[in-house]
Amino acid sequence: MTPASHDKHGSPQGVHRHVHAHDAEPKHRHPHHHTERDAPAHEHTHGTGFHALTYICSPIHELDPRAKIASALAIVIAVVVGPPPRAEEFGALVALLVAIALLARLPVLRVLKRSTLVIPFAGTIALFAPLQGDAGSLNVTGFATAYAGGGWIAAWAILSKAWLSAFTMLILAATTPPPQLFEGMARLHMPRIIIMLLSFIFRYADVLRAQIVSMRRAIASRGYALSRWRTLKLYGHLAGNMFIRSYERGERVYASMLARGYTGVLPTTEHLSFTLTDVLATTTMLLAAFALLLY
Amino acid sequence: MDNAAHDPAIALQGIEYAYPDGTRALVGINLSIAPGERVALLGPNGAGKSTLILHINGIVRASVGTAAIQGTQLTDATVRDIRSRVGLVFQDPDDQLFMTTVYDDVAFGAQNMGLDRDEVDRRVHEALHAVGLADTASRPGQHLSFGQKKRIALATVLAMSPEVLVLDEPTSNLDPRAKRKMVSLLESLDSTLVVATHDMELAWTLCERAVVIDGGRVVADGPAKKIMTDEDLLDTHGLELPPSVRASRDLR
Repeated sequence: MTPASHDKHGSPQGVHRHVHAHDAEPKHRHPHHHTERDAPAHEHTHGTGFHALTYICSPIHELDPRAKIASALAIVIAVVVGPPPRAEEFGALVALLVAIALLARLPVLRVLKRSTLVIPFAGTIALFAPLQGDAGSLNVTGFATAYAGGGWIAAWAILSKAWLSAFTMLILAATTPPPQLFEGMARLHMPRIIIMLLSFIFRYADVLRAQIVSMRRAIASRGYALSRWRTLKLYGHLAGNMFIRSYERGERVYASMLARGYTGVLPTTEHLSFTLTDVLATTTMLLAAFALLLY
Repeated sequence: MDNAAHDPAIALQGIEYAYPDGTRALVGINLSIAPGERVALLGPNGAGKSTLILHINGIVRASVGTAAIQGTQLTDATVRDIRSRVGLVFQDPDDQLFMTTVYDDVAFGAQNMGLDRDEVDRRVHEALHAVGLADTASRPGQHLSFGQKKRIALATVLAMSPEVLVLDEPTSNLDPRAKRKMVSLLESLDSTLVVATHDMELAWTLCERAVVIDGGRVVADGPAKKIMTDEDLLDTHGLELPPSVRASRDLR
């Protein structure tokens, strides 16, 4: 008996609805032709949990990726270019983003948690901001002086802007399957080489992760008695090893691309259509971005 | 089976190749494969099977010797045409599934041939149906099981409709069920087949001709029935009898 929190197929409800071999009509964005008769319905996986979010069905997920990219970019630019956000602005923007996340049926808390990953990076930079202050003094005692005020505001600006941008981008990433994302970027005339790099990173990050995990297991199995310093050195070797392996894999991937007639241009096959909904969504977000900037 | 009007599907003459560090990988390889033949390329690890395979579609060029596919000499000018006629399937499917979805991967080769979108679409679906994975088209390749990835890797090449198929260890690391699927899939193909493998049972089931390579040289070339039952020959070169041959001998 599956618990009430799970649907009849045993998947946790709310996050992920999945079509199975015996379902009558597909609720899912995958165009399924027919399924293998002898394969269990869940023979494939959806990779890491985060990538699975892109398969949710929601109005936001249905939007054209170009609309989403343009909107996200508009918000981020408005946030970054504008002055340090005031409380009302910050609150309004957070409310807007959370509303969009809810509309997209995303697990908001999970996305929020992930967005805090940017805090250590932004925080390190923000740490030095109070020391600079209006007068640009790097004096350590500057923390408490009148000059530090501007610095605290600068610190707030750095942190809040970084976090808002990360949250916006995360919503974009969670609502757009990577193939669509890359095609959207290509149609918006982002440099092809960057898109190619991104798509290879996406493709092989998991493979590299699996290799690192297996090497760490090997280290744990045989090197459990090492001192901290020696273990750290070992990880240095691991990093070097990963570099060599990745380099050689790159050579092999290139060979298989050549074997299939690669001439230097990666072809794409995504079909995108810009509908009225996309126009409205983009316009709304652009207006919001402008409001943020000008208010 | 070679007659004047029928060019061999693959003709390698005097192929020699040395690695950048000087190690000689291939020494005087002569190999002629007729259209429609199914040849098993056998040999111990390090014999040069994989290196030899890379010569067939020009990814590696021999320092000495020539290669010709269906009568066309392999040169810089003809290499692209040859790659559309010779389908090479590598051992590690992760190296061959590099696009974001299975559809993109299978379409890649066909698109590079300059075919229009509808034709590419038709070929992708044909290829996916041929390997029995038509429902995986919109999924990212990395989320499939290993056996499925191996079959998709084959599909990526089938979409180019090659007349010659060259496979490097098609059954390595497959569980028995996946292995059975792969073998029956390969049996259903009618192109010229070259299979480099350690899997003696696969070679025995699939191929009528066997070529044994050791130390970069061809040491045996003949009917599979003769070569794969010669225990001494196989033993000398790091191989063994196919299980079904050994079983039938044990029964006697």
